Amino acid sequence: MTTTCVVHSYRGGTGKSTTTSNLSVLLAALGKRVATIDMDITSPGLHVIYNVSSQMMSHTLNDYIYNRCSFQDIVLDLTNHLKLPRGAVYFLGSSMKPEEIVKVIREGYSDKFFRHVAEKLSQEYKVDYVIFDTHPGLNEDTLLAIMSSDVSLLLMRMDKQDVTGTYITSQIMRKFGRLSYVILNMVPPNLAESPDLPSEVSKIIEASVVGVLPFYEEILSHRSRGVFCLHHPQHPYSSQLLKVAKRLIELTATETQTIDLSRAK
Amino acid sequence: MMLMSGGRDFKSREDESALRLRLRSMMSEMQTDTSKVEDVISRFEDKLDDITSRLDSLESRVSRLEKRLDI
Ligand SMILES: Nc1ncnc2c1ncn2[C@@H]1O[C@H](COP(=O)(O)OP(=O)(O)O)[C@@H](O)[C@H]1O
Ligand SMILES: [Mg+2]
Repeated sequence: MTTTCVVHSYRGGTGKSTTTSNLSVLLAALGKRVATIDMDITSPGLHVIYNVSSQMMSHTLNDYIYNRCSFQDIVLDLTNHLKLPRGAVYFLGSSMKPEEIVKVIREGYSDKFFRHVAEKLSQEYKVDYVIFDTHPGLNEDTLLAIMSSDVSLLLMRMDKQDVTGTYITSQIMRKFGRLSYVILNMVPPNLAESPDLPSEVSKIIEASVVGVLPFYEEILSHRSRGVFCLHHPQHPYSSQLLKVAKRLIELTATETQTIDLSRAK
Repeated sequence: MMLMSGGRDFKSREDESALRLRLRSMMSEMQTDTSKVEDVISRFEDKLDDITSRLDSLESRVSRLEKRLDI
């Protein structure tokens, strides 16, 4: 059973790529097989965090969309590259070439795309999780990715603009009948210490907060050179996000059960 | 999960497939209550102020205590 998951935020620079990459290695550390997909087609960046050179990324999603390569060509196995002792991480990158970016944006994706990619990864790579790192905001392609996925993780900062967007987005998810969970990121450290922060925010925005990640100077100064949790496994950021990874496994396990039960009826 | 993986036709917006059509109709039916959104924001702001002031008073109490105990 493969769970598809979208990491999204209403505004940019909220930590989607940072969270996606770190979550992938933590899920792998928990023995899971994970594939991450850079769906931020207008400003891809996940490959930078994974230290994937353009040489390694010989083909991208863009090539696959236009029938220029096979599916295997766009799936990079990063398990050895990242020196992961357990699980697996696969990565599907987007082109950084402006001419390719403009073309995909102009022509758009078909809704089949997301499901097709998830299906391929499930059947041919036996992954447990497919994580889409999306473009911020509510554009149609992103909403299609969300609608095609099982779970959405919405990242928000403790900012008025983020609250507005996250509340609206989670209302849309509800309308779609999709599960959405919120991760508070870059939380001022003093605020993050408040034990009732997650429950209070959950009540207000009517969506369940599954993680609180403080703002850490060290992440910023790490400057996306590699996946932070791999370099600093003892750092509180790593332990906080590990809790989120475990929570995600729990949540998706129960979700699967309810689906199975309803099917059994 | 039932997916199609026949022809690779992932690029045309003109391919108005069922999911995209459903998305569009759901989005056009949506009636966002902006006053509700404003209410959410103000409750959020109030809650944060409340938590921050509670933390501030806790911090100042601790520091007063520390001073008194000469830590
Ligand atoms: N918890 C955090 N504390 C400090 N810096 C963070 C944190 N999360 C992300 N960042 C930094 O914020 C910037 C934007 O993050 P990124 O993941 O690229 O955002 P997005 O993909 O949403 O645009 C990066 O420089 C990243 O290192
Ligand atoms: Mg990003």
